[in-house]
Amino acid sequence: MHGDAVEFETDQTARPAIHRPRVEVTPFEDRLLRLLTGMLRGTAESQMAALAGQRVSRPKCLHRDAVRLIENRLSRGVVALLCRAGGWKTERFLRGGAPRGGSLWERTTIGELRLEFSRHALELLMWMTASDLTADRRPPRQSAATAVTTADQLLYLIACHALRHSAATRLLFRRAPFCRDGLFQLMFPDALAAESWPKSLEFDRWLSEPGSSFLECLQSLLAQRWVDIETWKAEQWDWSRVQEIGHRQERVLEAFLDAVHQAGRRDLSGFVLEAAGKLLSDGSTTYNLPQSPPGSRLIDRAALYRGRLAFLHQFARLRRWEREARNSAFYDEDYQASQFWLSEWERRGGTRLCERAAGILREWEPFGE
Amino acid sequence: MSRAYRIRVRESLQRLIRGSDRVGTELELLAILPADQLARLLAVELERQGFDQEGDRHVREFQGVRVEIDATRGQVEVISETQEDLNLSDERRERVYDRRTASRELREQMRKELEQQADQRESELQQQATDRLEKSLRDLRPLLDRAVNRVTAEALKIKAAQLGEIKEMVEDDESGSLTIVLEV
Repeated sequence: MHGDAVEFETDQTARPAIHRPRVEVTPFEDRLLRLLTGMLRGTAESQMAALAGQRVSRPKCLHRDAVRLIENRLSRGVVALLCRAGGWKTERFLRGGAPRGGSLWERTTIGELRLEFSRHALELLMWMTASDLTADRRPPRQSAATAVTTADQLLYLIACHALRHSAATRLLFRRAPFCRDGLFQLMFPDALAAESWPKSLEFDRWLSEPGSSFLECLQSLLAQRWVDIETWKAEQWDWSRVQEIGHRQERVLEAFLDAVHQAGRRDLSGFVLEAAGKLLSDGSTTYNLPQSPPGSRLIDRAALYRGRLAFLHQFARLRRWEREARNSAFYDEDYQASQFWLSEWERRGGTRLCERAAGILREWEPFGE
Repeated sequence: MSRAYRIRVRESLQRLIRGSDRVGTELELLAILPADQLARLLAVELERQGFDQEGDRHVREFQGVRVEIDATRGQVEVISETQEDLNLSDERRERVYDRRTASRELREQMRKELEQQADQRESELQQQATDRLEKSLRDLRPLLDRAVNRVTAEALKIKAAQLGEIKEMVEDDESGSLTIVLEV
């Protein structure tokens, strides 16, 4: 028995119908394609979770037509997703140490934006389709024979983001080698807080093309993730969990800021200021001083306050960057990059945000006034 | 016909119980001078404030808590500790039919109750240590701030003297302001 799958246009504007020959796929292939489409189009999580929550027997291989459909969907869908996420915006980012403005395809040549998927991408999709991600215990180990490409890692990030609130993430988030990636850790510090810290955390692929361009598109998504995490923490009474997540946030953000600073791409940390703009806005209650658990020691309160305020603790570093940028002279190599950082800092109200963060840290400090 | 026995059980508990709490912070010293020079200025100021040097730290008792400062790193730790030699005892008399079993069970029950009392007392000691620590911090903060301000003022004077000739210096202890006029 075969399911039918028909290619569809991602462009929804009215155009003359394009007739393509019908393609036959197996139920497994149909399920895979629906899962992939859901991930790329942002289908409701409940529907996605339903697809990811059943175990089905996995075929030895896929038919050629199905592979072609997957390739097509990947190439169009990932591009469309990146554009929707932020690629369409006219923004400025550094190119060769100098700011360049425009949309993603105006800032970066098309040749540098190649999406190269390896067998890891197909293996990931087949594994997701065949597994009951809510009930299976162990993720299968990935062969190290083929290197994971940036596009593969991006696909994994998209999959995890699509399913992040469902029970399916429990298994998905532990799939090696993807879960060791630095951007992945940065995107989901809450989901990974209980896992052991990776032996090495790499951001290299996201600091050079095409990864850095993809990271530029994901800035708003990253900012929203961190806003969501901080908001969630503010509503929690499970202080040990808050402490655990805060500790992970602090480590991964510190590692990321180290990496972008060394690579001369401080502009890629813009999501921190974007998130801060929402969290520290007038009237925000995210960082209202909570009532201490009765009978708690100050040392314990200090530890859990640190978990709540992990995000704000990084602002001292951003303030140092601002001062360094102001001290950069016109004959210094990084003068243009420094001036660009300053302009972004001022555009986002960095000084005001830093002062507000410092005020909150002082208020929560056990030595507080 | 079974015979009833009257038993008397005595149980006691001796324990050294402790309550402690601590909190740390860092002194925010502006990097006006090299770190080692600032550390020396801070050490001098701390000794002026009644701190004694013990190894690589300066310590003093303050309102029942112990304050330890690492002048090199500018790290402050405030420790509140309290302990008590607890002696609890209890004695009960009961009429029972099975002496051996009843004695064992009664002894076990009394031991648990004494343990609970000891735990309760330990929690109270703990709370006392925390309350004492919290109370002391309110007065300790201004003391540390004054130390930092004085160290900063001294550092500024030294730095100014390195930059040029000091023509005029006005220090207002009340407002904490310092005005230095330099000829460079």
